[in-house]
Amino acid sequence: MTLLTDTQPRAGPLRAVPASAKLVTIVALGVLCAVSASGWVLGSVGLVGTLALVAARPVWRRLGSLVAWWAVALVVTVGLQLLTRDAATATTSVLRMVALCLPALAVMASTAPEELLDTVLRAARPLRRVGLRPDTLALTVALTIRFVPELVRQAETLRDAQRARGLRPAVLPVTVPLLVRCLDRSRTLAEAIVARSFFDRTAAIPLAGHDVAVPPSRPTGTAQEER
Amino acid sequence: MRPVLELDDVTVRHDGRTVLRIEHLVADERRIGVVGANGSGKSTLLRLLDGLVAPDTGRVRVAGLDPVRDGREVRRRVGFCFQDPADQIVMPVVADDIAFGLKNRGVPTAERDRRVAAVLARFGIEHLAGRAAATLSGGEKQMVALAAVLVVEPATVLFDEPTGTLDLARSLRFAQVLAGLDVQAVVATHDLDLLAGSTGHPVDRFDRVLVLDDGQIVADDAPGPALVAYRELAARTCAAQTPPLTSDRPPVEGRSSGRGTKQQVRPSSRASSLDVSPEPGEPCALGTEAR
Repeated sequence: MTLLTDTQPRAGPLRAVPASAKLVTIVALGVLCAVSASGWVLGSVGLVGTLALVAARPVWRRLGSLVAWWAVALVVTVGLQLLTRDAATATTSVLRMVALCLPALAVMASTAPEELLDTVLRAARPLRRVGLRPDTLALTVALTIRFVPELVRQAETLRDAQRARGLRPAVLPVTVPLLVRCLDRSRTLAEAIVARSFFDRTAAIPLAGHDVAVPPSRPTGTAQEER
Repeated sequence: MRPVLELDDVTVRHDGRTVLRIEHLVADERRIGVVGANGSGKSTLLRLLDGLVAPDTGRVRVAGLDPVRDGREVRRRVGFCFQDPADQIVMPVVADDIAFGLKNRGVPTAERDRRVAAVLARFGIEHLAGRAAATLSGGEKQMVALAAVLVVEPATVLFDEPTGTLDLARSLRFAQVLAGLDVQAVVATHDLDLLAGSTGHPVDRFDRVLVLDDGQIVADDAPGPALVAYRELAARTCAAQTPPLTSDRPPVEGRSSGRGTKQQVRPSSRASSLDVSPEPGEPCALGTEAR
């Protein structure tokens, strides 16, 4: 899934469109997909997403990833159909997922992360009134962009490890260790964010007193030292 | 003047177990090494000094400040390099990540850009400025993480296993970079060559090495004698942990690789060329580099 692991935008027609306009479009398409069950509507959104992705990246360079996305969608549709014995429901569910993912990928592929974060930061300012911190929201988006490729890589490593041990790759044996690694990593990441003074600026976590600012990741660094 | 690191009657417990117990430690040297087995308390000691872990009892001071109560002030003076640099790079793009700490400290944009450019040039990684962090190699991530810590100009940097994920060439490069840093450095590591100054490059010597065992400081000396003490400790631990390996042990049933045919796997005899385990109680081999 190269589209997920490459976060640097290339030149293309969508690159010049302001990030705010792209985000508004994504939200509008999301609402449309959520309220509509029409195959025509969802299919159209999926088509628009595909075209947007092609516009964001030269299709001949990303054709494999694009085909992979639609192939996964097809497999999931068939699987759901077998489970539910309801072709219409299965098709709608998968179309909805694809229709939401492809335009989002197009935005990611055509927007520099810092531009995206600045836009989120600006858009989230009014939320300060209801107690949400725009900085924290922007950091959440940044971490998502930053760590999705790492997660994909870790999943690939786990899958390779299964193959190396003569096992057929399966979802559950990859998901469980991946989840455990994510939790382990999230603790260290939280410590790193504290150590780099993020909360000293936002004061989102009280640091006064003798409470532990962030739960220690390990009693004495056992797993981390062994990594 | 270098900050003074002080610990008095400090204990840290986790899950009912004491993971660190230090009666008294005062350190103001420029280069301080910390060695010990996995789980001996090295990472906890570093985390205490940065306020990431609070002591259950006792007193920790960094330049006279309590790292938990005065966390904001301590983190202005102390930088932390985590074992896996990927864990501390939080922004998707390298230049943004290096600017992250400055932004959090309220440094104005123009000054921020100047300092980011300067630190990138200092480490020779200007070409990485616009790269996605996820596409960096391990060595590049290490340099980016270090640049991101040093850009805020801390007086002290805590390194947790800085060469743990690096190949030999990158480790040598790290030793070179460390030698050029005008900061106090506390380095928890298994890389004894780094502490002994025997990496083959003109690195500066460590002034002091602490040896931790089971959460306690068991040796505190100059690198030479401290590393000898650590090697002896490791050898004793190795000998105590070596399982008895004798020919009268029952055979172990094993399965050959995926074909379903069972075979008997017998422990090899002591005479086997593959068997390098010591006899029970026999001391494990000692390295000689730092002796």
